[in-house]
Amino acid sequence: MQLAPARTVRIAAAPGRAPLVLTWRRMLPSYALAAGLTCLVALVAIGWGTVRISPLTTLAILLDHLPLVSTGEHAPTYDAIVWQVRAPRVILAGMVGATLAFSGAAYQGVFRNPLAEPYLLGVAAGASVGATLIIVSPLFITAGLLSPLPPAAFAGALIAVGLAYMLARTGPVVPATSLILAGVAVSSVGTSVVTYLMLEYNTRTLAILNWILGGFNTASWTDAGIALPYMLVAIVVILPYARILNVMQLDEDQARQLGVDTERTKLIILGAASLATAAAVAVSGLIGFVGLVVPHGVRMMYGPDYRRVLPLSAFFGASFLIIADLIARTIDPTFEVPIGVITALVGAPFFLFLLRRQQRYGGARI
Amino acid sequence: MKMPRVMLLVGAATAILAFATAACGSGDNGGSASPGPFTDDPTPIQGLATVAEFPTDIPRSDGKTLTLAGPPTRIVSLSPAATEIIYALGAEAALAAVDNQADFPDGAMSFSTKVDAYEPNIEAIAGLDPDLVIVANNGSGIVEKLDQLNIPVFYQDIDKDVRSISDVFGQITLMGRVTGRSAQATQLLTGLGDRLKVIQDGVQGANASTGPRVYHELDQTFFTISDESFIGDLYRTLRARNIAGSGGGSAYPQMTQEAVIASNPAIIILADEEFGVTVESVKARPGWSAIEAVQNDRIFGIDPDIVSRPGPRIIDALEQLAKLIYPTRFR
Repeated sequence: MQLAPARTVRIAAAPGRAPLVLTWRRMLPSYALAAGLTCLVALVAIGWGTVRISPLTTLAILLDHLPLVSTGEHAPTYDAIVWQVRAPRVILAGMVGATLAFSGAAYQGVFRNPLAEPYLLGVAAGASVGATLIIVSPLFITAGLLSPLPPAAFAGALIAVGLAYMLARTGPVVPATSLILAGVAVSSVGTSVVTYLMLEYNTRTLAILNWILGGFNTASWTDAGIALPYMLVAIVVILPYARILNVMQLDEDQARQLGVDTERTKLIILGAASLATAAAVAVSGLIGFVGLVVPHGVRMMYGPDYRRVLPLSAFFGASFLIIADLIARTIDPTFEVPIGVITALVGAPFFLFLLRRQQRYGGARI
Repeated sequence: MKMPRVMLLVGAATAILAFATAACGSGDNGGSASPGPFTDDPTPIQGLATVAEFPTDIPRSDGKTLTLAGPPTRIVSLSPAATEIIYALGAEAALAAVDNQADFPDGAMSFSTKVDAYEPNIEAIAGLDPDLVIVANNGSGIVEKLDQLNIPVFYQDIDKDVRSISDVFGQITLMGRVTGRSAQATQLLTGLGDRLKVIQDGVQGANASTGPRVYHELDQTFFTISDESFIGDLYRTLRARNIAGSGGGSAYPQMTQEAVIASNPAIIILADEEFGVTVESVKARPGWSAIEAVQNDRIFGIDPDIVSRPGPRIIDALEQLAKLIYPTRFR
């Protein structure tokens, strides 16, 4: 944090172009656009479902729940659907999407590795072990707040990441490569434990699979409330590090020479991102692809500056997962498609499209 | 489901005894007639009955035909429902092994060998040297593997071919033919049919098009049953309206939470209490307070094994549901 208090950072420009000078203020329009888009997507998603409710009714019900606003009487059924079922579902999907994409961007920045994603250090496997242990135990209750599933998944995720971090630590430094390898090893152990439990308790296999596949089928305001603080903490803690992340893209040694405390930065960013991811996984199960691909999409469209990549990843991650969830719950009336299938099916072609476009026209590098 | 070792031993002893009795009466077709002292010497009348019933051709769900020259004596049942039928017909002595989901009647728990019904191990099954394997679900491709080994397969697909109470009765008839116990099957069906009639008479006058709306929950992600399933037929028989309707053609469709709320069921039947769902947890679900069944406290659990197995206990399930749906008509 001893970085010079410059208000601008010069980004190496492509040959033949003038150096880009970006300030926070010049980035505001892109934030506003992304935020507006996310709100719009959320509104459309709340208005859309297997039960048809007119946009006006939906809007009236939503406004009615704002403080000091009254829009008259509504059918209790519609009110329950819009306010108790759809709204928390959409909001939670947005929160989880934002968390995963934001954490993914932070992980990629810290590891300077385009394949880094928020599950890299064992969050997913650890959470699965925690959740599975509860599902096969007599404790398995699914009553909203009382459910021990989210806390168990959360604890499992943090234990796994903590374990990976301790294993990778050599004296005062934690080399990035060791950390990744330790994460992979911890993940494999977790995965095999889950597989074993699934086979041993085969009457609970379906419940375990349901959790692992993830989704927002039973989302409630409680879930959203549980995840919100962690997500906010991660954003508040990590965002100020955006400029330092930019510097760290050079090389850890060079960043150190420029006065960046790289070990501390790693610990804080990875810690905050893992905490938020663990909370997201605890309330939604494992949803792949978002944390890996959304930050890359943002880089392709807006360039590699982390002051843009971090917040825009959050907004686009939110929109992306809200849309994926909307498709998952409406595309087939006879069953709900697992959201991971949608994120991969929709996300992969879009990602490839961005990749091709970038190759053809040049533009921001990853 | 762990049993004390003593009970296991007792169970095993019972099974061995049952086997011995079965060996004595393998040609027995009269039910009450006690087996004679000479094991391989059935009385002429029983012999005649055997000749009349075998060889027999049984159609399979994959279009092929199962031909049996005589009643099988080493049956491996991969279907808990078929196992229940076999016990109800008194043919359990012909069972060599059952699947790991079989838990009724008590005798079915005592088999030392249990085969995984979802991922059956072909070697384990072949090692039991069965002369008939009963398959109700071919998701694992077990039927083709058994065909390759020339092991006879009784394959009646529980999803495709068992879609109503009368289909369940048809399964009992078929199982009677397979085990050489058609007389017992007829007797069993007469009893079940009488009980069905009582229910049918009891709902006389109820209007099916305005009957109570029912939501039957299979798991906490809102998988349910449609009119295409035999469970749907239970509700049809009771003149209740299953909110999933025809389920878009799927026997076991998944509903969305909002669709359940919008359908406003008057009764909720939980077949997923073993997954930790309770009446209280359903009431606590956000938004569900708008549902009539929640407001009027008409949420009930039911033993999923009774209601979801197309065996003789399906009429037990029907009677239980009748009491839950029409507390005044049935007591």
